Amino acid sequence: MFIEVNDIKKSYGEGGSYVQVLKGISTGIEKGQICAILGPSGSGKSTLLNTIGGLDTIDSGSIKISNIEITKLNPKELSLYRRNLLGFIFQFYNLVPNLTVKENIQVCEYLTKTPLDINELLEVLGLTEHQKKFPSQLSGGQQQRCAIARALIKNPELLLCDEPTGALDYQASREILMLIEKINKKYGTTMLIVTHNTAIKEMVHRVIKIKDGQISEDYANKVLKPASQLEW
Amino acid sequence: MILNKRIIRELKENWVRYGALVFLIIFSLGLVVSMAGSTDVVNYTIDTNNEKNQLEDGEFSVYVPLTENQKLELEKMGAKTEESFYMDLMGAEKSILRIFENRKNINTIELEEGRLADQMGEIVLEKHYAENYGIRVGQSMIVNQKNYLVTGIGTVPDYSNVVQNVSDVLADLKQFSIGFVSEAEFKQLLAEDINVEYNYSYKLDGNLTASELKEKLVDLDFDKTKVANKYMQEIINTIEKGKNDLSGGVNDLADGTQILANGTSSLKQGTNELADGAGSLANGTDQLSAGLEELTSSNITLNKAADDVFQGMIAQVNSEFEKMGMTVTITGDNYSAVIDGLIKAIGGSDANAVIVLNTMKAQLDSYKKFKDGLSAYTNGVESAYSGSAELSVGAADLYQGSVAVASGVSTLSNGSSELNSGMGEFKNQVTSFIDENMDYQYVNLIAFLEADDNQRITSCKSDAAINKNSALIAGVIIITLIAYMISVFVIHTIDKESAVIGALYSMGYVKKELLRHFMILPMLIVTASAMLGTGLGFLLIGENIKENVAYYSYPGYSMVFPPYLLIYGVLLPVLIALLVNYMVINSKLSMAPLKLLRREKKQHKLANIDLKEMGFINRYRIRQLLREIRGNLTMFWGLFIAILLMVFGFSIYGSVSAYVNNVASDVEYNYLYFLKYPMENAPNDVTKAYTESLTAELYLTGGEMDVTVQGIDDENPYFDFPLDGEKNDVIISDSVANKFGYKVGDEITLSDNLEDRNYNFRVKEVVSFASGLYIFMDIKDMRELFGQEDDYYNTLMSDHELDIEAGRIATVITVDKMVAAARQMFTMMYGLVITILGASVMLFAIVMYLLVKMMIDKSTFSISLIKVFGYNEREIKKLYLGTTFYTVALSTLIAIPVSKMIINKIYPYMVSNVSAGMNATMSPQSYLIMVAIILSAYAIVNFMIGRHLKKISLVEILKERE
Repeated sequence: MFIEVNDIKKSYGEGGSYVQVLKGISTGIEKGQICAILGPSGSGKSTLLNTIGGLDTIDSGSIKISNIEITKLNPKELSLYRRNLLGFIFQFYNLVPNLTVKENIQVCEYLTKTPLDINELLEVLGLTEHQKKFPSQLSGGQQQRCAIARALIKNPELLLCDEPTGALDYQASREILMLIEKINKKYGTTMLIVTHNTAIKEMVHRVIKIKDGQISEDYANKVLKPASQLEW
Repeated sequence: MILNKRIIRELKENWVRYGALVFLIIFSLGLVVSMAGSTDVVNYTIDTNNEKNQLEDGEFSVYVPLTENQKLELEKMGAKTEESFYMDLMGAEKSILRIFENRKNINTIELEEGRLADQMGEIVLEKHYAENYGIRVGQSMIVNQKNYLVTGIGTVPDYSNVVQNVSDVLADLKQFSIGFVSEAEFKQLLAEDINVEYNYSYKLDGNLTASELKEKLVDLDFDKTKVANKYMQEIINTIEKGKNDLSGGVNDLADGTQILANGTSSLKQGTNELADGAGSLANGTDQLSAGLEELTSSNITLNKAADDVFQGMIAQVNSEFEKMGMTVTITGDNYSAVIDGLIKAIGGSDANAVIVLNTMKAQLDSYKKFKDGLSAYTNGVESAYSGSAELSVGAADLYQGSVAVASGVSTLSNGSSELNSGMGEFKNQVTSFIDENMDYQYVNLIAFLEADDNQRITSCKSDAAINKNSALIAGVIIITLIAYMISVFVIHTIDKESAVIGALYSMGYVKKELLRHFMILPMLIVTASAMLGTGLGFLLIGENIKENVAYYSYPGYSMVFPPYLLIYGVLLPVLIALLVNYMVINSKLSMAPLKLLRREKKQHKLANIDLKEMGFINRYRIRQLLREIRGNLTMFWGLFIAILLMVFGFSIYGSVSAYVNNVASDVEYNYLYFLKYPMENAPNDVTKAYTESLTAELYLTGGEMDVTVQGIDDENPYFDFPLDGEKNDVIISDSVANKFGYKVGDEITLSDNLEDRNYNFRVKEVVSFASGLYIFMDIKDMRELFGQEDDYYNTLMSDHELDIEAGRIATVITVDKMVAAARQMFTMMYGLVITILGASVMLFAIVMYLLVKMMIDKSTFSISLIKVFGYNEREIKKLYLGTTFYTVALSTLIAIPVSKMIINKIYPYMVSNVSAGMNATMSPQSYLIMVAIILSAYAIVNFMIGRHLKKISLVEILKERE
């Protein structure tokens, strides 16, 4: 298993404001798979993603990524872990506003010694003609493509996507999903997508549904529907 | 790192903010570096000049020039001396030109133009004097009614501050300066019997200390007969006359007592003889008296016998008459007349009868004579006896008296002998007193001044040092403020880009990389600005040094680039910025990536304060104030520093203005003459006083400063304070109180460095007297304290100019001159005041603008939101700019009094080398002007920020928020 999550528990607050967000989640994801984590707001899906990404800690349990027990890493090692293995895509893109598209991608190119070819990536993501534009000059979909490119440039083994289409309209969302599909195929990147969009579950290899901090459903799709055919 | 590409764009996007900061740094450092650099340039120029032109280690003046032997003796001991004799002559426009002979080894002339005066009728002028009177090399000028050709213009190291007296507050470069003539010319001037000051410069070779030299000079022999100065000679003559009179008087007295002793001795002998004689006389008279007594005892018998004989003869004659028939009877009393009658009656008729009658008459006459003789004898014996008895008593008394006289005269003689002997002793004592105390050595030394205590030499550097230290301290404060401001802006950027930073962390960026990235911009700004500021500072040195160059007299300056200033100007700001920004940014970047992604902010506890039922507007403003507490605190400190600068500027202005006004109002006489050689009889319409110059310890610098102790009397019309009290009670001027920190009741010690004596006084009262540093006391007490005669004086005060021989005068101070000097100080400080005020206003406006704008930028979402809610511009301004008003008002209210207190404490140090007590004074008008400046700056900034508020587009802002 590329990702091994074993009985992780996570809570916030104390006393009256104590909330247990993850109540003993265990699962595993194979390398190269796209996994969608679905669930209502507050179910704990983003928390699960963040703990896997080493952005948040857990109270108990273990998380192994590529055989690395990340719960035991110190902040510096966690940074290295993220640097070497992970790519992140966020709902609100989080691009550096005063860097161009290409420069935003280069920001993460800097983090690896073996980056992907930036021009090829720009080409794959349809950003070649926008490469010199600043984020404020791009549409939401274009900005998210830029964010994806930024995440992919260092050729991560695991791409964590937190509501990648949450801020996009239908068309832009579909384009992004098609890209994700394309990248997975092209680069074999393992992807974990946290989303509200239930349509996504048809295009991914694995679907994990979370409800109230626990996995309510966990299954694998035998047949994947191309992203271009998704409707919602 | 590609991320760093955004730095230039960040700069471009916020060019106003960063530009203003860059301007502030460049401006501040430019000012600081130019001020400190000017000081270094001045110091370097002066040090180089001092070394090149052999600055003295000190100087001294004497009554009589040293002999060649004495000079050689001093040189052997380790002190090379050179004559620096001078005389003050009248130059252009009644100015005083102090004329020296060309110097050879010490304090040599540094010519800026021309050549030395080597011929008769030639002169070299001090450069400011030449400049002030537009005199150039080759031109002529009149000095002391004599025409001189100006052959050169230059400076000397011992007169870099061209003051006439070392205790003068300021130099008046039009009224006093120096000139140099050839040896021959100087000799001729000396021959003209002009009052000359025998001044010497010395250099020590390290084997002799200044105090040892001073002791030696005090001990050097002095030939009073060679005193050339007629007034000094007059004083010597007066003193010597007294001594001679005393000596002659004692001799006369001794001679007198000797004569007296001799006389009384003779008298004693005479009286002894007299007593002996009187004794013999007494014995003789006793014997005589006894003899006479014996004689007297037979007197009656003798007289009776004689009378019986006579009566018998009468009877015989009467019987003869009867016999002759004559009926006449004679008596002892009428026999002569009767017989003559008979003879007449007989006539020629009976010649025999006539013969008989004549015989009878002759016999009777003869016997009567015997009888009368005997009676006379017995009477005589009787008288003799009686007399001898009296004589005997008298002789006895005489004897007793003469014995008493002899005894008295003997005592007198002994006394006069003792007197004579005592007088001999007295004479010896008086002679030895005269020898010991009146053998006036006339210590030849008049004044002894080490170079370090000579403000003509030191004040330029110490003046510059104060400016430099103040500038360097101010620079560090301002740079720290700016560094902190930059960090506040960086934090603002980090806050704004919190999610991006979180994303970058998520991608694997480590804090170190982001810290480095976020540090680049502030460091770049500070480094570049610091370099530019320092460069500008060096460029501005020429401008900054102008006032110094115009006031002090030293050769053309040479630029120096001291390494420490480069370190201060470039490295220190960079280090401060590095430290401040590292601390602030590091703390900000230490937040967890997730918190950054979620834009979570640490809320200050103050933000949750319960505002109860406060009105909405105020509540909103306070919430905004608390939300932006860091920005507001930074603004508070920024405004505080700006106000501190402003208070400093106004305080200098107020201080100098007050000094000018007080000098004019406190001094009531128009002329003050300090006399070197007071006249025996002062003019009638003047007020006499007695002045001594002593030194007091200056706690501010740890050094010493001259104070003038002036003895006045109760009748002095120019002072209205009472002088009663103890003998050592003094009344000090507020200048002295201020300068030395003295208070009423303090026991103070002042020193006479020449005499190595200390004098203790008690401060009885502090009175207002701005001019100089004066301490007043009762003239009688002062004369007594300093061992002067009861009528001694050396100072004259007058309403009008006095006709006094110039040679007697040490200095004349006129109120006009004092006020002019004070005004000159005002002019000198004016540029500094304007610079400080300009800088403070600029700092005030820029700090306020930048921080208010930043706070508004941070609140753009809220502003756009309330715009959406329907708030109009006025209301929005009220809500957001009202908050700023709180900070500005609070800063002003706190900063003005606190700054005043700080300046009050610092100011004395800044004027510590000025020989006058100056307070950091601010008039009520200054406070009003300052508040007006603050409000105007606030209004301008408000106006600009108001325009910025208008530009906030709610659509864009809301979009950005997504």
